[in-house]
Amino acid sequence: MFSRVLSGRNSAVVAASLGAGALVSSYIMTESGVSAGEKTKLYPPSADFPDLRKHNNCMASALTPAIYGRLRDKLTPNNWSVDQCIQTGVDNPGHPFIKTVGMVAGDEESYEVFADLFDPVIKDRHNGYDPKTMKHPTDLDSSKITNGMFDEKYVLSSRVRTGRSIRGLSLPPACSRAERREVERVTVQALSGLKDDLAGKYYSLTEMTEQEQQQLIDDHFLFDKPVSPLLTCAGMARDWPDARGIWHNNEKTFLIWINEEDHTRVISMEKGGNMQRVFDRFCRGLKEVERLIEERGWEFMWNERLGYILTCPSNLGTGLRAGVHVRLPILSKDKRFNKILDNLRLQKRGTGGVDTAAVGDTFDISNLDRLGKSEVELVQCVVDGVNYLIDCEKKLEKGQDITVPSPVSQFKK
Amino acid sequence: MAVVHAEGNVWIKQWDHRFHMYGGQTCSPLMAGSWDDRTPLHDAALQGRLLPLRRLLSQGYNVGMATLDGITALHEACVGGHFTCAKLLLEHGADANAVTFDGATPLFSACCSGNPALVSLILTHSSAHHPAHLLCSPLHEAAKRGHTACVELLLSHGVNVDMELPSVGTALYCACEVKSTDCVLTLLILGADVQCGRGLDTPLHAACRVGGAKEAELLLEHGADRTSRNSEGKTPLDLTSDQSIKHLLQTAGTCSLSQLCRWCIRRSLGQKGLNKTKTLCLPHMLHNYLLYH
Repeated sequence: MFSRVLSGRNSAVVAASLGAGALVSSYIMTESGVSAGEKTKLYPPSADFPDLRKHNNCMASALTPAIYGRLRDKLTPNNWSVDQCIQTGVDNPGHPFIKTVGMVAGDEESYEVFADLFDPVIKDRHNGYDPKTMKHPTDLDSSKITNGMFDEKYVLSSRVRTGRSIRGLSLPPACSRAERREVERVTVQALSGLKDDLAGKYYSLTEMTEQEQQQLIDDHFLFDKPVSPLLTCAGMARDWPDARGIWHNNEKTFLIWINEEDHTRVISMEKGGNMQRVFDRFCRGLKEVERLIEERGWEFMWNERLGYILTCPSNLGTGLRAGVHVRLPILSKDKRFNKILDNLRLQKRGTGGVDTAAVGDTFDISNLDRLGKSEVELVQCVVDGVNYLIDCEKKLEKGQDITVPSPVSQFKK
Repeated sequence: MAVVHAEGNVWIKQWDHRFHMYGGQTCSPLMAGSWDDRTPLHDAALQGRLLPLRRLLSQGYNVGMATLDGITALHEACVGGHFTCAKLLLEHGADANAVTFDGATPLFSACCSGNPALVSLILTHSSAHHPAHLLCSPLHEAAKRGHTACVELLLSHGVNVDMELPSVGTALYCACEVKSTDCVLTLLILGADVQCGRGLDTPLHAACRVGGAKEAELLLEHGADRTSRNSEGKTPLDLTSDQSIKHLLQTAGTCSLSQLCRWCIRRSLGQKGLNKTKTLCLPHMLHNYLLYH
């Protein structure tokens, strides 16, 4: 009895996997037969419009039958369709209290070919930034940062992260194995040219030894195949672990993930409160990698309206997230904490136990915005904001009262 | 037989590997965006998909897997209002007292969705007096969202009806702010102090401020003081621009002795006393008189 039940369940699982594989294969074969530019379908767009009644994401808010009718039959030069862009948002209705983006780009051209849908989503997600009329500033001059050293009684670690995509190759949801391998080859080759404190080593997920794997786990550097339905429905985890890997410098303060959610994810980090040094390394590292890539005839995806282009519309512009792990045991219990964070354009997340076992008092504080402000502006916003939070904590320790700051202004100039 | 066991072990090993790789988290915190850490278990629980939930658990998925913000699958099942999924998770050992990074418990999440059966289920597995409720109070959340049945359940499990949260007030105050008439009535009948609001602001102040005529009427019927002044020295009459409320406040006559006695007795008994009163062998007339039946 027991064995028969188990057998039945696992057989069903195996059969489901086989069925899914067959479906994927037939879908790919169908796609590969079409010509570029546009294709005709048997049914009209009105019959194809997804059911979004229970959805809470930016895509569902922005997509109308009219927009869908205009875009459904269009394809990017890499044969990527709007249906493929929105699939992750269709399959994942979203959370009642948290609004997700609900769509991804398959390549750089997606943002242009499907601008009728991407533009309102970007505006919704980026606090009113209008790609049709506004330009995004880029500034990687770390010398402009002031007060970049935090009180290390409160700040446990600092980091700045972003992503970069290589122009001419499809993004992770759409790329072929050959394109993904090319991303790996181009990036690793460029990284091998880094010198001095940036010099390091690459660890391919397919080739690393068990010792290397354990070390990367201990350093909290390793990443695994994504299981979040939001990512898998977008096609992020195909062919895992082919062409995926981790590069970090010898000092373990500069790290690059290759072919995870974006072509590359870059992070500069260190223990302590020296955000100035972290951002300086970040800027130097990025500019050096870009120079090395351009030496070999490649470049990053970038344009003056959207800035640097990544897979998810939420990471356009700078794609930058500057954060600290900061201990705020008293302020975090104050009812005004969330309001203060909101006005400073900061967000808080859990640290998952990294840096300290006392998870209840330690927060990962980082910038909310990504687009419409430069890298320097965003890091300065975090520096000023975190310093303000630390001041509040100190005042509360002394029994003094604190004030909620006025909201940070949007989109200067 | 051997093959079947081997197959099961492969599944369990896969999930355990991930669990240990990230130190009990769902993914690396290093680069994680806001959705990388949601697992298929979270997704199935949130959407109320019982079959994949059952399958994942049978494959050895760790039921306590939490996101970076400390959100477990049980929190998500409660947010989605899915009784059956929550029950399954609890049967597999989910912690009904788990607290998220924002201070939310599964009970709080259940009160957000407002499913009474679900709230009842969570109450049998968790403490109704969890300290986290001072940050995210299930009672206040149920009152804010007008989930009257959930309010009744919480109070019947001994939650303090007059608990006042700083800058939020009492549950009655919250219900008045959102003009939840049923909720206001239920709270009053079950023993809420009609004068306890937010600091010196009474529930009547809140009702008048938002133009809740029905709520104001209910409050007055239960002994609210029309002349009380808040921290700005204003009476409820000063806060309203609604003509019907003004008329109500200005024309409220002297209360009968019967009414005054009832209020006095109820206030003396308090919430606990009123609860116990139901079990006494009182004459029907007296029972109905005290408990507004």
